[in-house]
Amino acid sequence: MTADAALRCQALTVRYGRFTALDGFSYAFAPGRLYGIIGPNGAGKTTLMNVLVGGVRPSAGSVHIRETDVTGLRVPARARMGLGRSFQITRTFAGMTVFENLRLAAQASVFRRQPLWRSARTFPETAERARAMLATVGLEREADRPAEQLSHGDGRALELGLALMADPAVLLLDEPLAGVGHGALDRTTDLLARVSAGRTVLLIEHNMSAVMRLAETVLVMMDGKLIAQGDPAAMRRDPRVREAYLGSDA
Amino acid sequence: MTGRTRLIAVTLLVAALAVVLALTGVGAERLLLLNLVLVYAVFAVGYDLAFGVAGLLSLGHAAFFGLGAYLLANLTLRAHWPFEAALLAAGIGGGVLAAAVGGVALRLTGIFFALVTLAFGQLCFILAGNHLRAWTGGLDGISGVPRPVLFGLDFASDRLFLLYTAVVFAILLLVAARLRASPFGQVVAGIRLNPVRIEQLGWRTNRFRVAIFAVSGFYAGIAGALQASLLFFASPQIIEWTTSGDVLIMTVLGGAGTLFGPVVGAAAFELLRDELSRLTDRWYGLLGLVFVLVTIFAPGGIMGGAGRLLRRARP
Amino acid sequence: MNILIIGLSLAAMLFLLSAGLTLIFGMGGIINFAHGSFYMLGAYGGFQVIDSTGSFWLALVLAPLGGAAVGVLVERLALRPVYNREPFVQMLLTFGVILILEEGVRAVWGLDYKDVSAPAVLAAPVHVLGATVSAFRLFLIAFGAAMAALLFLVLEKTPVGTVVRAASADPEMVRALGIDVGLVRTGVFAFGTGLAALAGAVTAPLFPVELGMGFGVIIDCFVVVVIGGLGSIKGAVAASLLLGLVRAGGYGFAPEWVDLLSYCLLIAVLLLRPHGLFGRQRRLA
Repeated sequence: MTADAALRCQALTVRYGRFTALDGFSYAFAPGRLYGIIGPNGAGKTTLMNVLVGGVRPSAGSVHIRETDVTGLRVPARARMGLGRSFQITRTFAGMTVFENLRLAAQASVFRRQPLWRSARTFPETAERARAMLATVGLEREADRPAEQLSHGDGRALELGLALMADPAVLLLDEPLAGVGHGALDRTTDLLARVSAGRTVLLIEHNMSAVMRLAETVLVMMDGKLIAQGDPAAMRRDPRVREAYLGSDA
Repeated sequence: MTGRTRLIAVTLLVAALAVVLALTGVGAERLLLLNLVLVYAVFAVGYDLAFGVAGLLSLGHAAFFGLGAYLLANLTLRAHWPFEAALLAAGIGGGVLAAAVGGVALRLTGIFFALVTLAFGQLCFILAGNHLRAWTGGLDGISGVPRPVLFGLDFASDRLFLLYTAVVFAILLLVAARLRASPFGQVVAGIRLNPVRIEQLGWRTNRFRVAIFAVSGFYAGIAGALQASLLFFASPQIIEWTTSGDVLIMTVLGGAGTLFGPVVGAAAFELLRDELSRLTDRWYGLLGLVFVLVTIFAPGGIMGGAGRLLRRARP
Repeated sequence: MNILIIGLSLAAMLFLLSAGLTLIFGMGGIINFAHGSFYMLGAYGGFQVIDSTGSFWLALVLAPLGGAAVGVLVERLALRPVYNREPFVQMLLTFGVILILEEGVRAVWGLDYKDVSAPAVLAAPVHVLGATVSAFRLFLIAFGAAMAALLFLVLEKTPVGTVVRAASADPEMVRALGIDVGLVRTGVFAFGTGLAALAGAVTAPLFPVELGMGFGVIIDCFVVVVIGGLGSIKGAVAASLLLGLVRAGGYGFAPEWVDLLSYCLLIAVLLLRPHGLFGRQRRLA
């Protein structure tokens, strides 16, 4: 390892009763790279993500952000250290418009203490950031639509916008293409490529062609363990990977 | 001036108008009712900060309400504090108790949170009735709670006291409106809509929850103090869980999660109680029936239903 | 000896009440605040039957049937329309139901409280192990124990019990099996309210029958149901015994502190073991 890792995990293990969801997972994610994480269902990918952001406490092992041990920190503290995340099931604010969703997210980076007395509409800083993000994720025309009325693809774009609002150095994407229709697939993949520039990205995705196109390094997980890693082309040929998939999915 | 603040300005004007009307035109027997509406409107507006905005279902607000009543009674009658200082202390007391209860109970969510607040409320009810008699007057309560005197003006009559409650109500409604619209209020609303996302954005949800719960307790304390002053009496009865049920019913009846819904709900609750009790002895049951029907058929309460009708009427 | 008898009879009553409450909760997650009102309804119903026919035993049959019938109405008319809304809406509706039931009782029986005397067979005290105890309380204990045994048998050994348990664990699965979940829900709710009414009728000779008698009792029920673990009948038995004995003992030594203590217990259990002292701790992901 030459430079400090952006995110490093050390022998992470998560047990639920007798079931081991994550089994001694260690890896150092280098700054600015895009990692694709693949593996059959139940391989521990989402558990890994939950442990990395602080939502699940590991039974053993540690997590480091830029070599600071954050194992004892909860989700909000890690988020403030530059760890962003998009969820597999979109976690947007139903009942607020798309613009209001993004403006609320912008408040996290604009204010140290949330103002109590002025209307949230009257702060130009948050409005500007929200508008810029609308443009980035391509939702300008949906700005005033309630979040719960968005099409699936647009909901995904908003989810991504919320995760990007704090400009995280490390971005964890949990199946950002799940359920996105054929028409929007290329657009969303392009969007992922664009917003990943300059960040460390961990991408969990079942859509193989997207992973092969986006990822610089592919990690293959099975039964809670890292079983192989390398560049996408090598992983595609790797017999262990084939076995992992054919063994459980076929 | 944004649309929302304009709306508030208009409402305050209407409220002021209503007060002027009350001072000149309304018969004496209606004055107590109007006073009660304003007192419970304060209670319900504060309750909705926790329930409608933050999504916290509390069944223990009777305790904060009751603490406000007893604080005012004791501070004015025994410690001889000025009324306004005692009123403020009642609010702060309600807020502090709410912060303490919330701080402990917010380890839990949903129905379990509701049950813990219920248990805390009943604990306070028992304490007030049986254990802190020196301070609460036991089951007899404390009578002779004073009305305010300000700038040489004695608010002893229901007519003048209405002026006083209207001013307190207007101030607290305005504060609630600003708080809800503020960035802080938006984060709290976000917690109700999606707590997981709020945490992922870097906010600790429970700090905001405890804060809004304390503000809600402040409103309850003020309302309890005003009620004791209005009725010249602080009674342990108001701490029983049914008081928490009443304020919840008012809030839902009027429309939870809206600024004016709880006000409308408090008015509807008290007016129904008054009107129905004039027409029939069965008013409480009818109130229950109205409440059940509104809950089933108008999910947004009276305000939600009115909003839908308006939208339908528009071309 | 007397404290033991009083404690056990109190436990019997608490069990009858909270078994219904916990079943209803287990079924649909409904916190039925009106449960105390069904208890009151049962007490008044029991009074009416005894007043008209003179038979305490007939009251024990008719009062729960009446409570169940009202339960069917409440479930069908008020709760069913809101099963798809947020869970607290059902709880809110039960608040409205309290107002309606209290009013109904006031309309039929008026404001005065009613006295019900124990049946003649059980009126005289009996001597057990050298102590003089109330025969009626002994009967209550036996009755509560018999009902608990019956409930176990029905829930654990009969097909009906299997369906009820399955429907509370996984309604979708049961629906897929072609069972009318709506009917099961109505049935369980009616059964629960019937049990509450039975508790009201069978204990009517012990307490004055009056309006508002359900308000205090509902809180005790919550204590039992929470300590026993929401939805657990076994837990309800254990928690009823615990609370009944503690209360009876407490009344003897420090009556002022009994209520206080039970609420503290409730709070402690909720905070430390929200799934009850006897329930299995479910993992909250």
